[in-house]
Amino acid sequence: MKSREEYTASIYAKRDAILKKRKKAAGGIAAALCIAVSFCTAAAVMPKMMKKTSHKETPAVETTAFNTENLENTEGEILVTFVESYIKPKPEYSEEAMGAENEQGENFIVDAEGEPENRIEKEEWADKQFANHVTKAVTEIALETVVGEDALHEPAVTKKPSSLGKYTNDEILEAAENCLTDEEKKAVEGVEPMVTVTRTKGGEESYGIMYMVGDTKIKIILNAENLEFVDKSGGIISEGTTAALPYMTTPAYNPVN
Amino acid sequence: MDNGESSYRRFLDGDESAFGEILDMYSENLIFFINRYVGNVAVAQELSEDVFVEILLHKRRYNFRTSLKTYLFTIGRNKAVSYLRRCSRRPECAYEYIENESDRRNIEDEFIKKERERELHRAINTLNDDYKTVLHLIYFEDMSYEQTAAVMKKNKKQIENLAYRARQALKKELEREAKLP
Repeated sequence: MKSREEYTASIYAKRDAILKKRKKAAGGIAAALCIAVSFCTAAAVMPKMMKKTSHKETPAVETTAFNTENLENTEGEILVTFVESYIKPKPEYSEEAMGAENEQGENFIVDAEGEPENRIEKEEWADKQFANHVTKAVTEIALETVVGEDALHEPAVTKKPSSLGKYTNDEILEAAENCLTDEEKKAVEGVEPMVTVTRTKGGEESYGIMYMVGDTKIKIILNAENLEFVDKSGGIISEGTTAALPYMTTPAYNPVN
Repeated sequence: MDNGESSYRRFLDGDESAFGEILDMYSENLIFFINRYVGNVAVAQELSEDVFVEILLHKRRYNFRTSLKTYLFTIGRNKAVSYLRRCSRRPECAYEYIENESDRRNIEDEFIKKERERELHRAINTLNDDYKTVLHLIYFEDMSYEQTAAVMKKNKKQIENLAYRARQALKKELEREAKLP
């Protein structure tokens, strides 16, 4: 067992370690965000550079085409390649060089092989890749450095809400007693019943109240949600009975009768 | 006695000695409470440290709506439950902290003076987690039903029910122990 001084020192040491990790992580996130901002800026600026020009032969514009080969690379390589294509200055871009237009007037970036590529699709794909990259980094850091971010929240466990606790013990016992006949009440007077709770797979809950005195056993089953009668079994076994009576189940309890 | 809330206010204002007062007030009880869950004093101590690290890192999170004790014990319970879940997934986790038998005895000796109390604690430790927790919070930490409900994430009626069943189970266990030769 640690002394008070060791205990306190340990607490502060843990806190300092967490703060140090957070600082380190914040640096990584800042770098990733800088790249994201640069990409967004480049993406916003590029359409302005592509203006309608008269249709004439233009020299092939060098781009970093994204084909399926790139998709097979690691995420990091794709990111680097992608970033380079949008951040690196391209002096060969000019109004004359740009704007390989199709008949509908849509602008396409023409890759080295001369194949037109839809730029919007490329941006969307890149956005997705980048978003995944940043999200992944943030999540990893969050998991690593935030100790008990949800400390006040219990680890989520999916379970069906229970009706237990809705009624007091007295209410449950009173509801069970109402299901006994006068004779039965007399027979079990003063007996402390045993209460069990049953929960089915479907989440249905019921209380089982068992009265036992001598050989007499009476069990009342009540719906836990509303204390309504469900079932009754057993009965009074009086002295002198040579054979035990079979348990009787009363499927439809009618208090009027 | 304001149960540490004035100390916490001073702590919020930057008084580090106030944090020490809170430690003095609650650390041992918290370790004892967490030990009910994890059954290992060294682990309970580490987890209780994590609770106070939470306080240091997120001091403004406590909003004084519940008592400071309830707040600390809620975090402590969550830490204990998380630890137990981790251990059920990784059994080797249970051996990360070395149990020191003399430490266990020391903490018991501090809190349990009489033989009858020792028997009571032994009987409580045989009960299931919910029964143990509710009895501990109500009888050893002197928490109200409302406070206990806040720590255990239940409503007051459920705690009443649980306490009733826990008492019955404890009574049965003590009677059984009394009958043993």
